[in-house]
Amino acid sequence: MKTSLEQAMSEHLKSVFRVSFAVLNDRQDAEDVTQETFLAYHLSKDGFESEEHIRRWLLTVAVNKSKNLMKSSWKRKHRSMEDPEVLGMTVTFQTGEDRELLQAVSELPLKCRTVIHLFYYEDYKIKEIAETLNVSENTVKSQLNRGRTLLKAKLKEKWEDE
Amino acid sequence: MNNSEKYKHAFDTINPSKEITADDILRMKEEKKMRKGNFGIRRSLVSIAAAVVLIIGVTGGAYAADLGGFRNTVDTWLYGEPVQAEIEEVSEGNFVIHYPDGRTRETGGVYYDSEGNAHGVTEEDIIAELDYPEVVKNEDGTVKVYYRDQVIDITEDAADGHAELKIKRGLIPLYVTIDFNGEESFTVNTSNWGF
Repeated sequence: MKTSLEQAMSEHLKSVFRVSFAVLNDRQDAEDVTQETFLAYHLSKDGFESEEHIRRWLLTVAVNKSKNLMKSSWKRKHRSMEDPEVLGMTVTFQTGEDRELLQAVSELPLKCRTVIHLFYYEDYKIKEIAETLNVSENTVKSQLNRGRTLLKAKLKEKWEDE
Repeated sequence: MNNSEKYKHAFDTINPSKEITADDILRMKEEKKMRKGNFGIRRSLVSIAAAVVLIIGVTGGAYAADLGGFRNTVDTWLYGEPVQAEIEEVSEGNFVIHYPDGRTRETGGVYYDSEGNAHGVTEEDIIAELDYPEVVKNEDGTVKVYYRDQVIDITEDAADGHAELKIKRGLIPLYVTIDFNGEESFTVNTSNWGF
């Protein structure tokens, strides 16, 4: 099965954009990767077993493209999440805690924040993350634990012990 | 809220700056068909001139290995005119572009991987960068943007410190934003989808 481009975008665009943003910390780059990811889907001749298979495929492509963009980009000046350019004018933080959490995630090492995002936003299990990122389950566990520890250190009582 | 709910709540506030539609994707497909080579769509965050500055600041012995001698020919533009230039990698991440009129231009740069290790940019990066707008301050005080066969005078905008250009390019235009940070420094951002 393969759903139409329109349907795939309708159902998965926000997730693809947000995982790209989690990796890249840059709204415009995340938009570029989102477009590239759906172009790849449109051009793909892969067959898919289910809607979930499509979602996993899109997220995997988005993560890989985001990492490739980070590798191939010219060195760019560091911009923190406090820079409104990074988040874009359309972002409205619902609470101060949202902003604090986004800031803390943006400061995680790349590998940690990718795993953290797939775990907490996509509700992926360890095994699914390992398959998506093509790494071992032990590697995912290690990066997840490190990410949690760093988030706890930054967010203190606002991040529960797990 | 538990951690997962907090995380979702925060990231649900992150959205694209504008709607991305299937038509946008199909336009990208057509645009890629029209391109020469497979450079991909990238936004330029620094101009070639800025990259040169960057390399002065960061390179040292690690990039001193001499690789010079081998040149690849590439179709490009020089100040609005089509030319064939030769690209020579003189050391890792450092290149010299040789133009047919004898002019040369040194360029290069580094990027940092997720572990913070520096790597020299590749010839593919340099070729891709050649297809980006170039901002030039001329001796007569004018400031011009060169993109392929187009030459745009932005002297007045440069004096104001900010320029926004919509440049013709295939099916969709190239949106260019230039911010001047004093006499010698500027930043160029490009986008396929608007300022």
